[in-house]
Amino acid sequence: MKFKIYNHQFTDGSGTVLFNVDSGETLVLSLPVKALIEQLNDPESEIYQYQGIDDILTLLQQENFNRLSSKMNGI
Amino acid sequence: MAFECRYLHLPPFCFEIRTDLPSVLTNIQLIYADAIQHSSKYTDYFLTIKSGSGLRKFIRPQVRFLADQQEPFKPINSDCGFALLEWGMNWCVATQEMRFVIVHAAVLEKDGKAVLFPAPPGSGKSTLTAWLAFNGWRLLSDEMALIQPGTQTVVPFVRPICLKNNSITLAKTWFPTARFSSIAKNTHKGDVIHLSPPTLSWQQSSVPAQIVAIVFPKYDKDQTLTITQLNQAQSFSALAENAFNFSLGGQAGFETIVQLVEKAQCFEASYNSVAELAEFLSEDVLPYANI
Amino acid sequence: MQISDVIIELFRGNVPASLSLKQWSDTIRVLRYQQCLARIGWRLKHLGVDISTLPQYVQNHFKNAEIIARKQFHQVHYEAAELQKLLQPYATHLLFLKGAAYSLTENACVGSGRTYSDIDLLVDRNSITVIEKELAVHGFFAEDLDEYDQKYYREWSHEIPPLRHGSRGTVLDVHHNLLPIISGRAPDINMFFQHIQATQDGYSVFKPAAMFLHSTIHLFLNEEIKHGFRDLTDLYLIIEQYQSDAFWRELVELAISTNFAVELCLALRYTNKILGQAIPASVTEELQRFLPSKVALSYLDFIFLRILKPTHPVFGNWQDNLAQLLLLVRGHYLKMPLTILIKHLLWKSGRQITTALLGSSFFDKVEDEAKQKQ
Repeated sequence: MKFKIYNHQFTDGSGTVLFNVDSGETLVLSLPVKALIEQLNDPESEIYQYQGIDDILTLLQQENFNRLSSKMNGI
Repeated sequence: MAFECRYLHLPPFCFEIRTDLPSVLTNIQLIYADAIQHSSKYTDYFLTIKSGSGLRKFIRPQVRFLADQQEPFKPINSDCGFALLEWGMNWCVATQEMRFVIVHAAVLEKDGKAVLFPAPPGSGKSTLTAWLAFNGWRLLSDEMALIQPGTQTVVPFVRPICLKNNSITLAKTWFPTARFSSIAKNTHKGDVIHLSPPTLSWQQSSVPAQIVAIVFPKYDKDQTLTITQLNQAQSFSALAENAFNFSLGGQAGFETIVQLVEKAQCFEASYNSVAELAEFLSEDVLPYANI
Repeated sequence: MQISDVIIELFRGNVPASLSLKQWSDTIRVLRYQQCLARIGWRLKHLGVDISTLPQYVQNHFKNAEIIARKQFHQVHYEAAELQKLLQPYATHLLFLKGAAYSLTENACVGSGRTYSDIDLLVDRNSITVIEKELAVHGFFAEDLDEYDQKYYREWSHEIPPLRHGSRGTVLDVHHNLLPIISGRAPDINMFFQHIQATQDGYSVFKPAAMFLHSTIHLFLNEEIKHGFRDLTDLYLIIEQYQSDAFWRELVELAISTNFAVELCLALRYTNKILGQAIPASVTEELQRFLPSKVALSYLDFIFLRILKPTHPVFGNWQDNLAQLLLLVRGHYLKMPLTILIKHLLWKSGRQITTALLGSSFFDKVEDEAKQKQ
């Protein structure tokens, strides 16, 4: 069974929220997913210093990065 | 006292209350008045407030709450019986009613528009709620906002306002003729009293409203009115923290909270005067909010 | 019409005509108590009943229950994935049992609208210690039991107590057999290991016949039956969906070879008598010799024809209470040797006396979470 992660970009551009339907885990990010993906793809990025990076990676592990970023390219 | 049974018609629910404690019965009659009936066509939840059993009954009388056969709380002192019933009703709704997205917040309406006041303990929300309810605003709920999934519509669930410690004296000064329950002393929240909202709330207990604004109040006696507008990401974080069950409703619950923060105006408000905050809401928020 | 009969009719897909709102109210109350609200809601839809013709009030409660059940369904899938990842390296056999298994088996009717509080796992006996350690590292700890209950689990039952996950609140029951060893009825578990299947997502569960037998054992050898009607409907739904010549053959053979033929007789007897499940004549014939004597049967009927119906303390009578007591005695007797049983029951009644004198919260150690949330 594939785990569903819903992601939503806020209409005022203030950020993104990721929601795991099955576990109820929610993560709010003050940056759009596109920017997030760019940061994660850069090994030198500051995002890896961020305290909550493990939570983000865990949540995203269940969804394929590329699929997520290609979906976001349309927005 | 032998067990007495009353039915509380509190739309959208009906509760059967059985109790053998005179103080609980008195408080129910005082606070709920017209919502009480002696029989009911149907009941959603069957609740019991009864005196504790065993020898302890004579040393330090206790009272227990049961939701049908379940006992979710430990017993507390019997003079806190009515407060225990109130918390018990909240527990019932919060754990069973999944057809609403429930937010731990007060909701009040004016000019046909509703404002949501989510607030953790200590933010002064209940004092604010009490003042607004008696000064031109209609109370839909003090603790639990019932939102219809996929909409910004909030359904009233009218119950008394729960006031703690210092607010008790304040409220009694402001509203000397209002209906107050007896004081429950030394509960886990401190001293607690329940205040029945004005007749208007009770009369319109089935009239829903649209949420146009979400305000996160923070009382600070040294802080004059300071309003900070929140962006959607910030609002979502703050609101989600107070939403009991949106994750239970799956995608529908999640989307309801998302749409709420996108459609409503969201503010943080630090204040030391309820009147000032109320004026800001009436003059600077409501008129510009579209349903 | 008695509420328990109303509920049985609903399970069969018949909505009794002219049910008053009060009767509906009582029905919902009993269903909620029996943890069958979601199941009956599902069942009515499954059998083609138009829910929208029922009173709005009834629809609301079915809706609530459906949402909760769906959430638990998703939760179990999530937990199962985590547990599988975590424990697979340490166990040759890692099976999900009972409620969890129902939900993990794709398209199982018995998993629809099913709610439950624990996740039950079956592993090899020699893996238990290392599994308990591994679970502890990942946040699963023995529930806050007093010393006596812990001892009961570990020394007498040779089991580990239920493990609760600190933050998620999930409760895990890890077993190495279907019954405690000291009961003397614990089967050779390898016989059951011959009846494993893999679900679409790769979890190990029992095949339908073994699943049925396990649920039977669990129901008829327990001293406490909290949700008798729900457990009975589990049995009914497994037969309804999976019955076939192969199913019956496997079931009867396994029951006889593991010495649970009597229990199987009872299971089939009561799914037939209470819910009207038809049992093939060949099966009844084959099991005839295991049926208890007439006297024994009337005693068992007294107990189970009450316990397995949708009852509720408020709607019960003295016979129901007596049935509960007899069940308690029987269940304990079946699970523990008499000498140990007497000690165990004495302690339990000692607790009852203390509870009666000082109030039931005397034994509570944990601060009430619900109150903290308010």
